[in-house]
Amino acid sequence: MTGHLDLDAAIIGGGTAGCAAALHLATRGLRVALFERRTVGSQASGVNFGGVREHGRDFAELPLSRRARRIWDRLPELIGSDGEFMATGHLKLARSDEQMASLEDFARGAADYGLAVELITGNRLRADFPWLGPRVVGASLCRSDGQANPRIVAPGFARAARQAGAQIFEHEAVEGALRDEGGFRLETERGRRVSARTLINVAGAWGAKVAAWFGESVPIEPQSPSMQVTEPLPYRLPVNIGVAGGDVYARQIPRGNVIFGGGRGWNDFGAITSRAGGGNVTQAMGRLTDILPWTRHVHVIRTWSGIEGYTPDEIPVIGPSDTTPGLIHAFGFSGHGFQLGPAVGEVLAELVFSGGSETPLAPFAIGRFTGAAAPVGAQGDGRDPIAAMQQGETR
Amino acid sequence: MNARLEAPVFDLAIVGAGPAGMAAAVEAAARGLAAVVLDEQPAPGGQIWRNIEASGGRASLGGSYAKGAAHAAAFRAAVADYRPGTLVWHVETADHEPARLWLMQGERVGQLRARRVLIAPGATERPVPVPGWTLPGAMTVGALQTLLKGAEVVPSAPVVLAGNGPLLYLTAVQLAACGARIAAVLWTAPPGAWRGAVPHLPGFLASGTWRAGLGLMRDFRALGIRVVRDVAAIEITGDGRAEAVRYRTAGGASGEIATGLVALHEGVIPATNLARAIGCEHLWDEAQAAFRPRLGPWGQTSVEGVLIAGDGGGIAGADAAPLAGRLAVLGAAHALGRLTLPERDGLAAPLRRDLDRILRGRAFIDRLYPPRLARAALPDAVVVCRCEEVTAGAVRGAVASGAQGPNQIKAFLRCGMGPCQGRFCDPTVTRLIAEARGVPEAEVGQFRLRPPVKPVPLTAFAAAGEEVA
Repeated sequence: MTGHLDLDAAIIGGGTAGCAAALHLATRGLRVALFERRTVGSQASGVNFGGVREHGRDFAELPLSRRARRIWDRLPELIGSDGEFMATGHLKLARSDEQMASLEDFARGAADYGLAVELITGNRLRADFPWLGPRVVGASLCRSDGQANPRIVAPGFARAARQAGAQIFEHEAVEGALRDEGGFRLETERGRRVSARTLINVAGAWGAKVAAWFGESVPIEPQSPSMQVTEPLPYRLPVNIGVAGGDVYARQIPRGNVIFGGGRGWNDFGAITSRAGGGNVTQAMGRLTDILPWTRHVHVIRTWSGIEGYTPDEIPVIGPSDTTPGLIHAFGFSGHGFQLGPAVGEVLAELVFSGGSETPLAPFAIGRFTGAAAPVGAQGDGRDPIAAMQQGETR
Repeated sequence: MNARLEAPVFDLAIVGAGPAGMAAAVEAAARGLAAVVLDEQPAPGGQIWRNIEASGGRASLGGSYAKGAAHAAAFRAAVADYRPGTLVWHVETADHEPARLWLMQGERVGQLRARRVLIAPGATERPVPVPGWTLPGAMTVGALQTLLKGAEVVPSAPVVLAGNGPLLYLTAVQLAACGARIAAVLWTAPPGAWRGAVPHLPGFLASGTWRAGLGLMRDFRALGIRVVRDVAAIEITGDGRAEAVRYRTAGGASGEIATGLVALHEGVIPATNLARAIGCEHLWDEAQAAFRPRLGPWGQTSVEGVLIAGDGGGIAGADAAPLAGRLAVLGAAHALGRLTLPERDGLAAPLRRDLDRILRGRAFIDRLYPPRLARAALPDAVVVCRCEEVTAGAVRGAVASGAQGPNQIKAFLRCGMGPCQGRFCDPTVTRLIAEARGVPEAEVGQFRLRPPVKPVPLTAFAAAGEEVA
């Protein structure tokens, strides 16, 4: 299965961001191909908790997250499936006064971004959420947040991308890529040779490896959040639940199963395998029964995990490479990229077409790890290297 | 977590106390291995010899059942650390380190470590999805037999048995001996199956199992039960529960029998859930139309330190299982330095001779009793995954929209993600994908399984780390 592909854009990684980028680029007529070593959505995009949440994010992510939230409402028209997205709201719990203060801080700050967060304490907390355990002292509620089924979202974008004309190659890892005068040259594990004018690195936990091919060193730590699911129970948890501190989170799907996470599992990064488990996971289960005491006698029927890349500051790298014109990165989502994915796809397409994005990306510059200065024109002044490449120029 | 460091280390953990597990425990004691036997059941015997000690080997259950009493007695006499009522819900393995077994006993979770883990999980009934198989009143022959052995429960109304295989004969004879009425047997083995079996007749005759088989068939015939032969399709009908079963023979004859209880059976397949959750490699066994673990001569799986013996390694029956269990222990004893190579091989030689003789008889039985309903075209409306209520049509639809394998079916449809972790739908899902894609089942593979192997209470999980006493 060898051959040569001549592309406008090659995408490494079949997560939501990559598949969404493929969709937007193909829709606008570019010759685009995506390479995924397994199947689309088989790692962090597909096996995460399924929270669709602006609540509690780093403020640097909020503009991007706000943009993503608007896309979640439009998924049916975009990919022909709603991804089982339901705007159930996200309730973040405080188990101490200090934690409540942190929720109050976030609510104040979020208002600057137009995100409505309600603070709930005292009698109203017990009246509105009678199923909470006694250790919970207060909460903040973001009604516009929700939850979705991660297993079907990236495949949905991939399907739509294919229909738009993108080529999606599964079970085909990119083994190496380099930049020369004409653009990028890639070789895949099947011996396929690919040339592309633009290269998009959305390789998740493996994004740092791709960046390193081009001399950019990002300290990514691969980790495996542990996920658990219970047997089906009567539906009583109408909101997506998190806690200040983030050590446990839970949601219930209409089918009745409670899905919860917390703690980190085990992974073998080289072998690309991961699994839930370990001492801190059993602690997360104790925390769950603390906040939702009625889960005490419920059975766990399955656990799972995946491999996600964490940056030191736990916000992603998004934007052009500092070393290599035409290379664009978006990886290191540090355990909270699911909600962002659809917007990252749009941003990547903007970067390809205009060199900039309407969404502020400065906090995500790769230079914060590599020590390089921000590239000239990163905010889209038309002189950006990628834009120049799109116009047929080379430097 | 301190308990992780403190978990005791055994030479050998035997999971399961059926024919293979019990014999393995006896052999381990003879070789001086520090062994622990972990079994979900409250008493030794496994499925075939369930409740053997309390029942005293009831005569009504026949000679093959009574045989278990001696095995159980030998097991009791030899075993030093036997933990009944203990579920092994997860096994963590690492190269060159003892495996860590996560246990649940009642509501308490604990762990222990072992240098070798011998899994003797036995067999499970092949799912036979037919229209109406999810109605109350439709069950499996094995489940009927479990009620009979474990609780002496005998159906009060006439029952229809549908399918084929030795267990169906045996259960019919046992039911009749216990006073149950059998309205009819809908026999699904094709009459021409013997032609494929004949080349394997010499092996079957040499195996010695023919005596028991012949006796069983004589007992069955003596019952004078109505048998409809060459049944190619059945449908269980009723309003909210089974009220009748319709059948059609390959010759085109059809009929309907009024009954509130239909028991299905088309043979047993290896119980592979724990082995697959551990990550042992499995391969497709065409003769048995089932996946089984790839095993070495001493029961070694593809995972270092993990061994399998008995029907869980490929269906060979209760006479073969004790031999396989003992051979696995001899192999482990040598690997742990407790037996020299000549000692191991000397002890193994007679066991292996007997085992090979029994195994030679298996191909005859496999060909004589091929699954038929379980391999027949499945209507779209039939529920395949009972936990998540996924139909055959939904699986085919997912394949049509790009799902290539079981794990994508799982992702798209939640099929196989319920409490049973695919036990009831796994073979069917693989078959449907294979049919839809026009590829062999070997290529399609199976669900990837995740711990826990069986549901575990959250509180027990939360308390993990305490050692089970």
